[in-house]
Parts: sequence; structure tokens; C-alpha cells
Amino acid sequence: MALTSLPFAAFAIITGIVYFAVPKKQYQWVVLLIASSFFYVYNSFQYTVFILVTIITIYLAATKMADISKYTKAEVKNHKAEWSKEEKKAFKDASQKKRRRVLAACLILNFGILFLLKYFNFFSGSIASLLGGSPDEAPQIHLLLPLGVSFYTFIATGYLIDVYRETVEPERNIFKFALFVSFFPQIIQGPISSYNKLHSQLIGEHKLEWINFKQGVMNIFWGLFKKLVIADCAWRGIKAYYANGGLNGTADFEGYGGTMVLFISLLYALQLYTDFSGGIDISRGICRIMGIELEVNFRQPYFSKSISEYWRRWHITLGAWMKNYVFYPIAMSDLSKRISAAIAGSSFGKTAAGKHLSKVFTTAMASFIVFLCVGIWHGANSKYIGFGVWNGLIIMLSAMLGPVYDKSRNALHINSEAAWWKLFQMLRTFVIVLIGYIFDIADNFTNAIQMMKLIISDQNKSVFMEQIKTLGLYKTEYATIMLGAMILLYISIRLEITSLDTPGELLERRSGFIQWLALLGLIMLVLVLGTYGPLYDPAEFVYMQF
Amino acid sequence: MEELMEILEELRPDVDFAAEKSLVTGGILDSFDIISLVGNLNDAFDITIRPANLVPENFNSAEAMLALIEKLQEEE
Repeated sequence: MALTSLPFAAFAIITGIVYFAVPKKQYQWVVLLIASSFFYVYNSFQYTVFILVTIITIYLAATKMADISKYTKAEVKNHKAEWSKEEKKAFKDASQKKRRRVLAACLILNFGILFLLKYFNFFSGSIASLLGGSPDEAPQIHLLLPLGVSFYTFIATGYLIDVYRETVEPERNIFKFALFVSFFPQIIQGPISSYNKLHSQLIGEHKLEWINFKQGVMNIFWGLFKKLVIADCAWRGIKAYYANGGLNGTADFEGYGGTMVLFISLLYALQLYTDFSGGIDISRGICRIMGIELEVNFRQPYFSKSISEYWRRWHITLGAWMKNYVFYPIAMSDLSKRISAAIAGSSFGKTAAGKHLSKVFTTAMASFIVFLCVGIWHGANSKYIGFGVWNGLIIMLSAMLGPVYDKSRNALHINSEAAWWKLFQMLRTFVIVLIGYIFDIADNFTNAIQMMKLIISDQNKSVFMEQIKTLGLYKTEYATIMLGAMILLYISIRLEITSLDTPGELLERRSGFIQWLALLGLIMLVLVLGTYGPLYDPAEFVYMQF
Repeated sequence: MEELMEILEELRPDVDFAAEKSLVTGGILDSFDIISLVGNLNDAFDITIRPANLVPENFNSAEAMLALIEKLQEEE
């Protein structure tokens, strides 16, 4: 049941009607839980056991940790007079150790499941090749992925770590907790919501309000526009590229040249953004109607002026998760402190470069590890590791070489506030992002390198004009993609200037007539230009596979 | 407060720390800034800031940071 399908629309509408029709508002969350359970079982019946294991183990671990904390505080309070400061500290440390053991066991179990399901075949194949055997002979697990496993595992473990850190109180009602983990609008492709931003909204009471309804519907159609008009049309071209054998070609096709590879990469950049952010817009729209605000996951990422800024604007909730639960713990660990101190204490540490490095080296290393994790999160393939290493290297180097970069800019008398310079920075960042995408498009790491070589060495317009025909898109479809991209660009610039999040918010200041006109126009565009009908096989959301 | 302001101004001379109230949520301090800031604060005030303390509310303004420092000093 894809987010853009009619059965899903019917399911969402029925859920919405029951949600607001329920006589006692304190049971609204039960409606969401039933709907989410139905949605999960309907879509991923044979793998329901995995999400249940996650819900139950994390629920138990979180309550256990909170109970230990509560008991410790009460004991320390009861023995306030008798215990010395050292005794209190020893007691607290012992209970902290217990909590840490519970946390570690539960994290190992849940990431273990994720690892087994997603990466076992890749690693067992790689180990077999290393040992000189064939990857095909290695033991394999033959399973499809449970729906949303990468998303719900991160959502649930983030909550567990928050409880461990005592920044949130645990949910004592397992059914309410189950709703937080399995909430249907975010299970397919995120966002990776944080507990303190979402949970109270899920279990709270909500009235149907006109402003929420209007903004929600607008967001849903904006998402449908991105997905059905732009992404699915572009996807047909990309699919043909794969079907024709990519660089290697087929028996009757010689393989694509550099200009086509560049064109496909650009098409992919457009498709990936509209597909993923379009899906998020639909989810956020559905939630908005029910009075629930899902976190923003995209903020015009292609306008970023540096790669680290890009990662604060693209898949924002994954970046935030990585920052809170991977980056900070590594960068603030004792090992990092010792490495920094060792650099500062060495003779190299006395030089200007050494001083700078002692400050940023461990932070840069931590961000490299984060991007390796982001790469691996996307899937088990050498190309995703290449993708992670590429992004990590750029961020690491830009942090370490920051002063050199500033100096050369000053030496060239470049005003960092000048518009042309900012535009240049955006373009430069986009090129770096595009190189990362080539890792995504490629079959594997070697193929990605071949693609990059071709883009540089094999630009040929007449070959391109011939080869573009093999994508099988009609002129009207190119026109549709162009028109869609222009509208998207215009709206993105408006959002960037106003710092607003959705087109609906942009329209809020306009008259009612303009708002209706815009909504009807959007619906018309989706109906007339959207990719569907019995002949079309609507593309699944790209991020659904992760 | 003076010592804190000195550390902050050395870290990012371009920011008006006395007036700014959304240093983290407004994206003025990035995660690299936060990590160097944490190191400096730990040394200067003899405290241990942990990842759990790195919520935006603790770092959005100089006052919030001071409150966090005082809280951690009490706990030590």
C-alpha cells in the first residue's frame, strides 16, 4: 500500500474520520494505534514479529532503567544522614553501571537484528571472498526487510538512550509506546522523530481545526505533486538507464557515454529529492490534519553553501539522530580527550597548525565515523560505504583545513558576503553532493569510479542526442519534468527567503481567493500531469527500501 | 559570567553572545563549535559536561550555559 495509492488514501481518510468522530477524545490515540497496527500487518505481515521484539525489549529496558534510577535516588535520600559523600557516590556509580548494562544489552539486541536483516548477506559474502571462496557459497539469509526497520529501530533506540540520559521520562503504558514506534505516517520512510517532540502529541487530544485541515491538504497535494509529477516521471528515465545496462550496455546497445551519465545523475538528484521530500510532505500533511506536527526533514538542501550545511538540511532527522547518539558521544569520549591532549602536548602541537589540529582532529574523526554510519545505514553495498567515506572525508578535511581556506580566501580578496561567492559555494556544494549520488546510482564502488571518469573524459553532444532517445520518455514528459522543476525552484526560493517550511504557509498571507486558486491549480497539475493509471507501475518510494 | 563571556567571544568573535537567545536552535553554533566550547568550559570551570547535557535549552544563550555550569558545579 504505497503512500500515493488509492487504497492508502481510503485508509487515511477512514482513519481521519474515526479519529475525529471518536466520542471520547482521550481514546483518539487508540484509533491511531489500531490504524498503525492494521497498516503494519497489512503491509509486512510475515515480519511483524521483528517490530514487536523491538517494542517489547525497548519498553522493558527503558522502564527498568528508570526504576533503577528512582530506587537509587530514594535510597540516597533515605540515607542522607548516615552515608558519607564517598558512599553516596559509590552507590550512585554502581546503579549507573547497572543501567548501562541494561542499555548496552538492549542496543546490541536491536542493532543486532537490524544488522542481521540488512547486512548479514553482504558481510558473509565479503568474508567468503576474502577467504578465497565465492560469495555465492557463503551462508545467506533469505528475507525481505520488515517495513521501516531502519526507521523504527532508530526511533526506538533514540528514545532508549534519552531515557538512559534522563532527558525524558519513560512511557509506562506499552500500548502508547507501541504507537510511538509504529505510527503509520512515519513508518515507511521517516522522519526519525524524537520522543520528546512527538509522543505527547500522539497521545494528546485533538480537535479538527480549519487551519490544520487547510495546511494539511495543501501539504499532501504538494507532496503528491513532487512525487507523481516530478519524481515518478524522472524515475522512468532512470529505470530505462538501468534496463539498458548502464555503462556496460546490452547485447544490442553499446552502453552510455559521459554526457548521458551526467544527465542521469542530475535527473537522479531531482528524483531523489522530490521522491523523498514529497513522501515526507504527504506524511506531514496527514499528521497536520490530525493536529500533529511531524518534524521538518528537508530545508531546500540544494541551496546549501557547504557539505555540512547540506547535511543539516537533507534528511534532517537522521542527521540529528547521528549527532546526538553517535557524534557527541565519540567527540566527548575520554579517548578523544586523550588524543587531543597528546597532539597539544607534542612539539607539533606548539605550532599554529598543531594548535588548530589538537582542537579539531577528534571532532573531525567523529564526523567521519558518523558519515561512515550514514553510508552503511543506507544499505549493504560497497557503493554506500564509498558514499559515506566521500561525505565524511570532505567534512573532515574542511574542518581540518579551515584556517588555510580562510587565509587563501582573504589573500584573494574575496568578500565572503558577495552574492557571486555564495552562488559559487552553492554550486561547489552541489557538485560534491552529485559525486556522492553517483555512488548511489552505480552498481558498486568500481562502477561509480568508472562513471566519474566518463563524465570528465567523455563529453559528446551528438552521442548524447542519440542516446537520450533510449530513455523512452516523450517530449511532453521532459516538458512535465521541466515545468515541475521550475515550479519547485520558484517555491524553494520563496521558502528560502521567508524562512517558512511549506507552500501552504507561504499562501497564508494571501487572500482566500488566491489560496483556493493555488490549491485547485496544484490538484489539477497532479491529476493531469501525474504518473499513474493502470499502465503505469508507480515507483515505490526510494527510501522505503532503507 | 565574565569568564564565560571571554570563552564564548574567543570561540566565535562574530557572535553577540550577550543578546543572542537561540544560539543552537537558530543554527549559530554548529556541532563543532559545541564540542570545542564543551572542552573549554570543562577545563575552565572544572566540570564534566556529558552528551545528555547537550540539549539546545542548555546552550541557546549565555545565561542558559551559566545555569548549566552552576548546576554541574553543585553536583560535582
